[in-house]
Order: sequence, then structure tokens, then C-alpha cells
Amino acid sequence: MISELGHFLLISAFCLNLGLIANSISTRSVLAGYVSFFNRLESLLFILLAISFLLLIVSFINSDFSVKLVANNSHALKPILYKVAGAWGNHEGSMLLWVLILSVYLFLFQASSRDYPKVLVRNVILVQLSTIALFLFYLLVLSNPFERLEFPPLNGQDLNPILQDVLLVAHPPILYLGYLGLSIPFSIAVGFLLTNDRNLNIVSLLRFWSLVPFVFLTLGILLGSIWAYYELGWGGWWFWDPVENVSLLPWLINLALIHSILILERRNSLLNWTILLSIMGFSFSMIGTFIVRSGLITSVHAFANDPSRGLFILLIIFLAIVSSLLIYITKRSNHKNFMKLNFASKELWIIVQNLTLLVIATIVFLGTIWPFIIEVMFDEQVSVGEPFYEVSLTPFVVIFAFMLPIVSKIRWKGKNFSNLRTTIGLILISIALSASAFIWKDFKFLTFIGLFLSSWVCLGSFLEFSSSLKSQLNFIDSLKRLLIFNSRLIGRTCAHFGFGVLIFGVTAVTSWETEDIRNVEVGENYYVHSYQIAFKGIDYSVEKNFKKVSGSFEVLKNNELVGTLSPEKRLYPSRNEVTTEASIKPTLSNDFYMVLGNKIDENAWVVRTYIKPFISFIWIGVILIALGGFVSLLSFTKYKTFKA
Amino acid sequence: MARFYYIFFICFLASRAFAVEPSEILSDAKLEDRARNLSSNIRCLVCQNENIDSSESEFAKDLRLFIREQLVEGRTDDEIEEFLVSKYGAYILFKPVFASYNIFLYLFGPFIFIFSFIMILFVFFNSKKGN
Amino acid sequence: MSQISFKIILVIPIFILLCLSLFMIFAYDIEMANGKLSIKSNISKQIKSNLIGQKKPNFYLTPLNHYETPQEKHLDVSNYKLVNFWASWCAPCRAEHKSLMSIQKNGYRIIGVNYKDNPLNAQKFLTELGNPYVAIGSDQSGKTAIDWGVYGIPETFLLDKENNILLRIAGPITSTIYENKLKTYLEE
Repeated sequence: MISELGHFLLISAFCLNLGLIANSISTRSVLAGYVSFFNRLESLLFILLAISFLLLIVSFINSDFSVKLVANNSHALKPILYKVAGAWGNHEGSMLLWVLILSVYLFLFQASSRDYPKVLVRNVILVQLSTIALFLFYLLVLSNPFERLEFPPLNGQDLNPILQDVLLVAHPPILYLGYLGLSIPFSIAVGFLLTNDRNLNIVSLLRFWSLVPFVFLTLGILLGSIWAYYELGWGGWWFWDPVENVSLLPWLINLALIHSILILERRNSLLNWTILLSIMGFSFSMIGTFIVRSGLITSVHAFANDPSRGLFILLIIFLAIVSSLLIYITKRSNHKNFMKLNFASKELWIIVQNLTLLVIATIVFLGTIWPFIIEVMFDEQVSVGEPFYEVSLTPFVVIFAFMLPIVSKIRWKGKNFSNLRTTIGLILISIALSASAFIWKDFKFLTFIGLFLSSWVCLGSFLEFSSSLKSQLNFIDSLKRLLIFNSRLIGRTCAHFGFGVLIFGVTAVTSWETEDIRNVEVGENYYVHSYQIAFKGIDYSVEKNFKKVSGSFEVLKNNELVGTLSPEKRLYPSRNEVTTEASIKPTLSNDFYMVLGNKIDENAWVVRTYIKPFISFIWIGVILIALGGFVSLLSFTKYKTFKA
Repeated sequence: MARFYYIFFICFLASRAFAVEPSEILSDAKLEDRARNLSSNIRCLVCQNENIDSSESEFAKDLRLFIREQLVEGRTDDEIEEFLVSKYGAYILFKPVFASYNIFLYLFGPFIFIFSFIMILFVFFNSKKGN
Repeated sequence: MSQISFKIILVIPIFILLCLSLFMIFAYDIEMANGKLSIKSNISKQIKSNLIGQKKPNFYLTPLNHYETPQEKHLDVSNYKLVNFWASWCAPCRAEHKSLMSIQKNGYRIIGVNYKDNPLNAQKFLTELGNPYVAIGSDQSGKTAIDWGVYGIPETFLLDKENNILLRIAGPITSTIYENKLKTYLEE
């Protein structure tokens, strides 16, 4: 019954959706009086989809194996948390979540945009509704999550064991909040083009709705990365897998968008550029879904797929992208407002920053689909992986990071570089700081560059913060304005500082990691660096849905206990899969990372130990970036009419 | 499709070994460094987007040992990569060789960057002239 | 001039569209079969062998139990022959064994390369399921496998009369694969 009800709700949501689209097209002229009624119906769409998703979760909790999706992805013995997560750990369920989140954003947008011109809001909602309709149609026709099985099995097939993890429970919904949050800037851009009124001010709307997905996308990528770090067993945190690349693409485009909005705000220029970036951001999230789900490009994330689905998604996104680009080309403003660019002006260099981001995105995109292109054009197979991205992206990341403090410091419309002396001083200090690290370590050029950039970005953003706080204090006229203004400044500083911290973490981990692989007998003591490690014993036990072997190791430094680590190997009988669970002892400066390898004989095992310096700085840096985005959100200003 | 799953299956069956094992490591630290460097560029064909250095499969283990053997015999990194490409095809390298069609892959990004940078400078000088 | 320059922006969406159209045109095969629309992915999941059309690589094999070790003389027949990489620990090998037996019955020579196996288990495997091989060698080091570009067990190579590699089958020889790939050569 439950799943039939869910299916019914989905169908009614689709009908409602079509009705709303028809309604919103006609309200333009005829039915203007029904606006308040029409508002309530959109929340109904959200409610219908939410209930239908809840019903899917209920069938997962009940382990109703007559539902095909549950039978394929759940197991009666699984802990309840993973049963719930099973609802979105597969293709159909995640598509339902996808549609649900689209409607959540529609609802939120509508609720928060009362002060904006009705024409604009209605058009934005129309575009958003059409997007929902496309995906809802796909859901109903080709991937119905509520499909029943004629002969239900006694027990389900279980979720892949390495996906049974707390972080991965939260990872997809947060990532989706990011991906689909980009649909709102997309809808705003296309809706704005459809209004034909180029004097509407969409700046504050775009700013707010591009920062929201930025925060979620950053956090979502972070969660995936942390998961890979502790689950995949050798302590890597970024693999340049197609799945990771396609999550990075919308993030990069969105970052470019956030910065180009600044120019639109300050100089009332680059309107077309900003609109195009908004369109491309969501286009990239859709292309990402296609790449992940079509299975055309080999990736760790392959959902079980059949080609008709891939083709259908491809058609949908082709339709969405082509139509939005057509609207862009025909309706973009021909108003030639070229701002005056000075060589030392912020706007010129933000454009260059934007360009660098786009080039990085282009390289990542091209690298991701290159194997496909070559297979199609030359019938040959190539791989594009980590070494390629390292070589081809490093120069652009270096350019980007080096420009960052300069660009954020120079003035709008600036005619000459004002504090040239402080800048050069700062560069010299950063060089000295980073060079001093090589007192303890061997000199490597790339390490030096990384350290220099991180201290340059961190110091630069910090100095800028203190100086602009000082200079702005004179102009305060009200407390409110101070808060609004400062939340932006704080957010920016926080994000830029976080970027510096991130660079430091990446540099430290890639250049100073220690690895130790050896056979160890139970009771043996050995040294890695200055750490003494004692192998205390091995322990076999049986858990609810798996069996495990766990070793216990004591790590000492100067005879003081750093921590006890217990790396595990697990056997999941329901899928007959073995996973390794690394044991990690994180401290601020070092992560102690241990993996239990093969059994050599009765009491000897292969043990792998990694000491990862400053890896926590990567996580902290990314959290700071997300936090910066969040703080900037707080300065959301109400609608103002355009001052040309 | 069924084939695809078989490969998974094979991979799983073959995963009796573990990524780099103590017995594999060369005593010569320089050669071991080179071996590590090389293996990070070589794809484990039975796995999903993993290099042979971190893969647990038997295939990866064989190649790790092979690379070390060749290094001890004094082959250069390029020779070893070339040999592997001749046997397994270009698919085995994570970093495509900078030749023929791959040149486009390497140069497209820099080209866009330089080209549009020049364009921006154009706009910049034009806006100067206009005022 | 400046008006043109900002149109550079359009390069990127055009590039995206181009790639998408590539996907649209080439990624899928759409066919009407028996009144039903069938959609197939055009991208092969199988890794192509780089050795097709080349002379066969060498064997570096050690003897396995009492079986004859593969040598040039075993390949010295002017007929098609197969080289099969197998092991007793590999479940798909068990699945394809039947097809190998029937190919052997049809009079074709099959060389077996026993990949990283315990000789006792290999012996047991063959006594249980029958021996389709004209000669078997043991590849404990995996060196022969690397030389043949083998990445997973089972893998089978079809050699022509001059001992050039005609085709490589990765994975077990199921009846469908036999029909689609081998039949044209082995049942002329």
C-alpha cells in the first residue's frame, strides 16, 4: 500500500506541476488575481514530493522487499541509520531526492522573495517549475522508485559495505543541496532574461542564491573527501575520479559567479557574463549527474545503469541547456555598457580571476570526458588521471592563488597600486617564512611554492582585514550598516584565509608524508620516525552484519602514550566482501593512520603506517571557506531599485 | 554489461594480496622512489580508477614487481612505460603521452587562457582610448 | 573591437554544447528490433588488446605437474589455436571450462597457462572437469601474463595459422561470446 501511495503522490505532483506551469504562463495577463491561490499550490507540490520521499524511507525502514528498490539496496540486518540512507544510496531514490530538493528550493525562493517585482518572481518560478517537470517526468517514466517485484525475495542484497558509513549518509543530501541550489541562480538568470526588462535589479537575489549552494557544495565535497580519506585505506583524499571532477566543476563556476556578481553590483557591468555563469553553473551540475549515471565514463561511483536512462537524462539536460542558451542568445541585453577599466582596478583583475577559474574548470571538464572523446573519434582508449591534473592545473592554481591577495586589496576603479611597499614587504615576509621551513626539511621547489602561496594568501587576507576595518570605522553611520558591511568583510577574509590554510595542508601532506610498510609480529615493538609502536594483539569478533579482525597498536612518543589504534578488516557475508577500516589518530599537526594488511602467518601481519602532517589543515581550510560563504550570506540586503 | 560485472568479480577474486607489500620494497631507496613514481602513473586495469600503487589486486602486484625488476636491470622510466603501453595500450597510463591528439588536451586550457587574456587586454586598452 | 572581445565568453558554452552533442550522436545506438526500441551504450567497457595483429609473445613457463610444458612445437600446426589463461581459484574459469572442452573436441589446440595457482588445486580442477589443453605451463611470476597483456583471469587469445593474435577475449567464453566472436573462425 505504502509504495502505491508514494507512486500516486508522485503522479499527482507531476500533474500539479504541469498545471502550475500552465497557470503561470497564463497568469501573465489573464489570471493575475489568483496569485495568492497559486502561491499555496506551490508549497503543495513540495509537500506531495516530501511525503512521497518519506514513504520511500518508510519502506526502507520496514524492509519491504516487495519493493524492487528496497530488495536491491537493503538488508533486514542492517542498522536503522543505513536503512534510511539506503533510500538515497541508489539511482531511483536519489533522483527522487533530486526532485524533492528542487521543489524545496522553489518553496524557499518563493517564501523569501516577496519584496521583489512580481514579474521577475513569476518568471523565475516558471523556469524552476519547468526544470522540476523535466526531472519528475524522467522519474515517473524511467526510474520509478516504487516499483514492485512480483516475487519478493526473503532478504535484500544489501548496500555496498564501503558505503555503509555515517558520513556517506549525510554526503548525498548535502551535495544535492549544493548542486540543486544552483538551479535558483539558473532560474533567476533565465527568468530575468524572459522579463525583457533590463532595469530590474537581480544583484542581491543572485548574490544570496549563489552563496547558499556554495556553502552546501563546499561541505558536500568535503564530506566525500573525508570519507575517501578514512575509508579507502591508503589515506588519499582526492583522486580526480570523474565523480569528484563533476562535483568540482559547478563549484568552480559558482565561485566565478560569486565574484563576477561583485562587479555587477559595484559597476553595473558584466551583466551578460554573470547571467551566462549562472546558466552554466546548473548546466554543469546536470552534466555531472549525466556523467555519473550514464556509466559512459568509468568511475568509482557507477550506479547500476541501463543505457535508456542515460540517453533520457542526456535528452533532458540537452533540452534544458540548449533552451536556456537560446534564450540567452536572443534576449541578452545589447546595452553596451563597457566600464572604464584601469590597470590597477579591482574589476579588471576580478575578470582575470574569473578567467583563471574558468580555465581550470575547462581543463577538468576536458580531462573528464577526454577518454570518451578519444574512444568516439579515434576508437582508442586513454586514461586521464591524477598525474595529468597535477601537471596541467598547478600553473593555473598558482596564478590564481598569487593574484588573490593583490586583487582583494586593490581598489575599485583604482588608478595605481597604492600600497606597493606593503605588498612587496608581505611577499618578502612570506618568502622568508616559507624558506625557514627548509631548516628542518629537504628543499623542494614545489613545496616552497606551496608554502609561499599559503603564507602569502593567509597574511594578505589578514592584513587586508585589519586595514579595511580601520579605514571603514570612520564612515560608520549606523550600527546596522556596520554589521552588514562587516559580515561581508569577515566572510571574505574567512574564505580567503581558509584557501590559504587549504594550500598549506595540501602542500604539507603531499611533500612530507611518511610511509612505513612492514611485517609485524604480535608483541613486537618498532619505530616510525620518533614514534614507538607496539603491536599488542589481534582480536576476532562477530558484529550484527559483519565479522571483523582488529589489531591493537599502542603509539608512544618519548614514552608518552599518543594513542591506541585499532585498524580492522571486515567481512560482510551478505555480499561476501572484505573491507579494510583504517584507524586514525588525528592531532592538530599529525594524523597517525594505520591499516591492517594481510596475515603472513599465525601471529605476523602486514602493517602499514602513515604519518600525515597537517592533513587536518585541509579540512579546516575547506570548512573556513564554507563558513566564509555562510557569513557573507548574512549581509543579504533587501531589494533596491536600480541606480544606473 | 554482464562483462563489466565479471571484471569486478575477477578483481575481487584476485584481491588476495594487498597494496605495496614489505617483501616488494627495494633496498635501494632511490630505485624504490622511482618505482613509486612510476606506479602512480600506471592504472590498475581491473580496478576502478586506481593506480597500481594503491590497488590490492593481483594484477597490480604483478606490475609492481615487474617495474621493480626492470628498474633493477637498469631500464629507464620511459622504457618501462613504453613497454607497458605496447602490451596494454595507452589506457594503462594515467597521464596521456604528450603526442598526437593528446596535445589538444594539454594545450586547450593554456590556449584559452592566453587568448582570452589578450582579449581582456584589448578591452582594457580600448576603454582607455574611449575616454 | 571591444564588442567582439567579450563574445569570447561564448566559447565555453559552445564547447560544452559541442561535447554534449558528441555524447548525443555517438554515445548511444538506437535500434528498432521486433517492434521494440532498444537503446545500447556505444562505449565498450572492455579494454582493447594492443597486441591484435602482432606475432604472439613468448612463454616463460615452468612445468606443471606431469603435463607437457608449452613449446613452439605445440603451436606448429596450420590451424587456429587458442591460448587460455586460467586458474583453479577463479570462478569464471570454471564457468567457461565446458566451452573449452567442446572447442578441443572439435579438433582445435588449446594451450593452457596456469596463472599463479597451487599445482595441487590445478590438478584437482582438471581431473574433476577434464583437460582440454594440449600443453599446460605454470606462470607463477605472472611474467608471461604481462607479456601477453593479460589483466584478469580468465583471458583467451585466438591465434591464426602464422601464430599472429587475431583476437582477445577477456572474461569467460560463454555460449553467447562463442557465437558472436569465435564461431566465425572455428566453424568455417
